[in-house]
Amino acid sequence: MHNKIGQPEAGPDPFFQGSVAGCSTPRRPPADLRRNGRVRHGDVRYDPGVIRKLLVANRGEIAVRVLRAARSLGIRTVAVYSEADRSALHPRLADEAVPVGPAEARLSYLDRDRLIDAARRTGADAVHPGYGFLSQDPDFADACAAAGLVFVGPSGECMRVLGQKIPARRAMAAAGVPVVPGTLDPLADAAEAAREAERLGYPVLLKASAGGGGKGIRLVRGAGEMAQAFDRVRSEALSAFGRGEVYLEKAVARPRHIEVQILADGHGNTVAVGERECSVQRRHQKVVEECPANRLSPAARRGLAEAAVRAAAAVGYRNAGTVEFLVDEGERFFYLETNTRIQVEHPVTEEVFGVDLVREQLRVAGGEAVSFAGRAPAPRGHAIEARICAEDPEDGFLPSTGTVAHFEAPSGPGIRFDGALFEGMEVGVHYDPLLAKLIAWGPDRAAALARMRTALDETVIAGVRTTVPFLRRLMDLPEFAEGNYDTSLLEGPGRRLLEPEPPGDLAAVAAVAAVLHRRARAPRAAAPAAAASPWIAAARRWTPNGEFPR
Amino acid sequence: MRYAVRVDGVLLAVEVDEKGDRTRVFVDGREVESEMRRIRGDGAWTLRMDGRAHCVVVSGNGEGETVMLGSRSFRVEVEDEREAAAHAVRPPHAAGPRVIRSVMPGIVREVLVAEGATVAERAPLLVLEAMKMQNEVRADRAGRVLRLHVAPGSTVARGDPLVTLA
Repeated sequence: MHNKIGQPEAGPDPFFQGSVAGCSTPRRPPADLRRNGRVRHGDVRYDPGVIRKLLVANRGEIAVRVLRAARSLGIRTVAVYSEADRSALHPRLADEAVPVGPAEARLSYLDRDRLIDAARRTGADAVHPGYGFLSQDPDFADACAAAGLVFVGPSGECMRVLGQKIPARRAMAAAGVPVVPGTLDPLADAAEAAREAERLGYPVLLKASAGGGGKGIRLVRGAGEMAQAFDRVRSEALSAFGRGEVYLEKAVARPRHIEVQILADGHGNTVAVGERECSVQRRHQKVVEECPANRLSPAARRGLAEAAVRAAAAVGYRNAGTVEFLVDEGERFFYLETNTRIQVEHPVTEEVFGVDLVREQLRVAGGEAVSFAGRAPAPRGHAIEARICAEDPEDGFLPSTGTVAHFEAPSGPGIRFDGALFEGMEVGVHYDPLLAKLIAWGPDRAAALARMRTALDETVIAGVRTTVPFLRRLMDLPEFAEGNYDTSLLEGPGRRLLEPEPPGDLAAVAAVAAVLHRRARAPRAAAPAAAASPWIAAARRWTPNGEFPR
Repeated sequence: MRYAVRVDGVLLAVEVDEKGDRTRVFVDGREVESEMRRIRGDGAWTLRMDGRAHCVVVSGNGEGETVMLGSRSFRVEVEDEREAAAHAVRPPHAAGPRVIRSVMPGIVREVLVAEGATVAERAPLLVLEAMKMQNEVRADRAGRVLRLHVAPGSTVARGDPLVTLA
């Protein structure tokens, strides 16, 4: 297999683009692309191809994002919503809105038949799954195809290979993509696991082939822990995923999590659109992402992009996808998995490369070529994304609920706010806590970071506790500010950010606010009690020495 | 009027002195320049204090109030002189039934005990699911289940009663 590598673009970070052997070389856009009257985005042409009406099988910010892309292409749109989302934003931004069941996702956003039925009834010809929910469900992709609907994503067959870690590792190893050293076959029992671990050297990770999202994975530090860990991972995998295959990987020390954005079309183009740094994680969940990655040599950057193109081509990948890698301290990198969907963090790539990845998804799904195939846009500047979640950083990041009482979105140069937020919105317990994504772009990382700090200061989401204050503190953490971190950031240097922040000077402001608010609501405050004695008695409850603090 | 205000566990004394149309505010004895104005309804306010303006949203949820300054939130309890006096004469910890409340919003997935059952300290009472996590709620002391406030499938908010133990 060979890859044709495009010329590095101007700028310090060469941008890799290739097409892959077995497919044809990059081509000029087909003739029908050069017709007049096409929608334009910068100098990039878009065409929705065969898609005329799109059903967006998702909710929240990604539904809004996809609806915007579709409408800007002149595609008619259908939103679906559960009973919990009757007053949500996404149904209001679509041409048509269809109820698909109760709040419980299993009976609405995860119900394939209902979604396909909604597409049929509204005459939609395509379905965009967003991320989460059914986005990586091969059966849904197949069911769409069987119903004559274009599924905006790769084929079900492709997802099946990539969705299981053991077959994916085998396919990647065969294609010459470096995988984390370990086993390529399921382990028969704990004894075999122990033998393999001895060969690899501890520590190792025991992983379920069907695992994902931090589930079905366990670190094993020595032979003594193996038997128990093996049983745990196997039973966890069986109960969570219905499959019990387990394999071993050597634990990579102080890894960074770097992923490459891929776009592949049906015209032989497989393009890598830069990488993203996703090493800021809390419990295997991404918190902040950046484009480009920090501290990466041009050779490693190019190597990652080439490997990602090989990884996509090895399975005949079509549409947008993300190839995730672990990168060790010596810049050696190992394939981790492929996310067969648009990613939460796609906007950082869009800001740096000036492309609209969701429009590209729709184009490619409609049979068109990637709009910049053969002529890659050059990266420009740096972008950082912060995920704003309805979680309480003061209380162990427990999910928080409530009504958004007041909302002020940040704005200004280089600031993008992707959300589905509005005042009066109910934040419930049924879905993912992600409320919005704040993306800051700047001509360099320092400028992007400065804009991010300002924008977080500007962001007001009241009525529901959010991660905004935590994110704001993270931007000042020296290791983050310097771009010098790996996936251990929030377990090591950033550990204190996970603990409640002392109120500091704001305690006095909050106290005055509470008192003035109470007085404003009850303006006829009675005269203060004349006698001092009950007051002094009461004060004894508050301080150990019985004195009211002054 | 004097108020004792607890902000995330920090105790402050706030005094508001209204004389005619002039209102003076003191925090722990220090006079602060402050002015609070409505932005919209009862929902949002602007508080200017010591030369800085803050966006303020105050909401009550049954366990004191939440004051948000920008996107930072503070748990605040306010007692004026008379309320404090009233509290002072009440015994601090009355014996009797103990209500176990939800520490987070979620959905009750399983109820593991029945009314009337005797439970040991730390015994699991029910399974509460919030977004991606399942959490066992346990008895914080031994006792008898006096009342179940929820059933499988119930949606609960933070602070809602789950089980009353006698």
